[in-house]
Amino acid sequence: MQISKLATRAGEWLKGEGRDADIVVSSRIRLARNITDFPFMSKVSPGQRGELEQLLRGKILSIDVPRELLYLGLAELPGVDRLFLVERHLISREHASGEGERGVAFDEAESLSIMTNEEDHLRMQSIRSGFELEQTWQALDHVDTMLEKELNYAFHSRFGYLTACPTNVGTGMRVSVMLHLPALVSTRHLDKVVNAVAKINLVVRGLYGEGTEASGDFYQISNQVTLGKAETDIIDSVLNAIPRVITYERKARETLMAENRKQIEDRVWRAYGILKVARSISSEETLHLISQVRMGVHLGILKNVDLKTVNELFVLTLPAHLQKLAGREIEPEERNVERADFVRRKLAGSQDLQEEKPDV
Amino acid sequence: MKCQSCNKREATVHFTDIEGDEKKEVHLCEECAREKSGMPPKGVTLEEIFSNLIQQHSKESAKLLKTACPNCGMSYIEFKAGGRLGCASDYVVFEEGLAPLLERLHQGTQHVGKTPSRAGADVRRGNEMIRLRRELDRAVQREEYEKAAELRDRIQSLTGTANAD
Repeated sequence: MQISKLATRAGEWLKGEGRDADIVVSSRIRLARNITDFPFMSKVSPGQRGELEQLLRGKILSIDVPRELLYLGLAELPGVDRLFLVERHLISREHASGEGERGVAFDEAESLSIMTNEEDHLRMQSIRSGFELEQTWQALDHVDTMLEKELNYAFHSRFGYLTACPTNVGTGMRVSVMLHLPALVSTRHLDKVVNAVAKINLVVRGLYGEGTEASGDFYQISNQVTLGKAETDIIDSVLNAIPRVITYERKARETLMAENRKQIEDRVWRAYGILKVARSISSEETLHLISQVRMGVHLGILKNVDLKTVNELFVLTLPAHLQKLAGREIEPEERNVERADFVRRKLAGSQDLQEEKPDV
Repeated sequence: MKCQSCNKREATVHFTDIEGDEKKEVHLCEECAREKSGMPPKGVTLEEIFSNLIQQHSKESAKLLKTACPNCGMSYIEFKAGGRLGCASDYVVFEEGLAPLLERLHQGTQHVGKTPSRAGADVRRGNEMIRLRRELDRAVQREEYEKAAELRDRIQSLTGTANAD
């Protein structure tokens, strides 16, 4: 498997399937683990770093997972490739911009990824399309249990799994559900969601996790507490909260349609129109328009557009992806032209050709 | 009433400051109060709030402030500045300061989740490995090669026992 081959398709978590896929883009769980024989990353010497990576890499590749894992060392990977992995949610931004020996293992479906030498020795994540937290946890729990047989995890009877940052200690678990909330954003009700989930110790984050901004009406809701609650209780707290947000968003959509039907239809069709004809477009505008189109598909306004195509555009039009597709470095302005071309081609392929004729 | 610090803005924050045996009424405007208390200004990130928490909630004993981990060398002050721990045994060495912090951040300080099957069995060996590795790095730096070779042998023999598990 080569990186550039990935650029033409998206990970399985973007296929737009699973429960409540109209609003829940993906369900993700990550675990943080360290091993006893090495200090945490802040105290690892450059020599130990390499030794540690080798050890982890060997153990990760030795476990028996349903789909074969590919391991990439990030130290020797060019910047654009590292950004490419961030855009696909396979590694964190911090991992991409870090230094020294470190890496990531992931499977072809991109539903499992394991980072080595990140903030903790191991950061493993499982990700699925739609609202599928139970399945996601089952898969990750299994991987963790297999790795545990190979590695001596740093564990304390009182504090649980020991992590470099005290915010992750205990279960080392972060559960994140990515939601598309265009109606709550446009009716200015999102603050209420943020306040309500804060009361039950959940937090709303941006598209790429902690400290990132939300864009295109996409948000992640995740747990903050990792100690004093069992894994299943943490999952339950998110499982209980998300359906309320989903219902809230659906109601807001209904209200919008009941009160401003023509305006909403106009907004959706215009967004679709721009994506289909634009000759130069920024990634920010693309994301904003994709958000409108995505909502339009679910409201039945756009009938011939495939959700998977729309979801995939969300990742495939990002800067590093366009450059990998083109096979060369592209300056931002030229990138906007490439992006517009790519979006037009994708949308032309996904729906009936009659509508496409005037464009030719 | 004007703010006692800037003498310009209206004082809106009033509190009693106790320093030793001395009690003092303090009247400040919001801006000066934020500055003095080290409270974050509006719109800060989670990390900033967190590092602030560390400073506020560990009113550590003088002893703890001088403590350093014998395994990884991380001092408590260093942890407070960076917010990241240096090795597993820091949790034990800095427990006095960490427990109140964890209480604030989480729901209790007792782990109730998953437990690895071999938990605990290798902790002592792990600590030993971390310490030996640090000594090895130091020996190499000082070009004490004989000592380094000895340390490397001990690390290798410990690694051997791990694999035999």
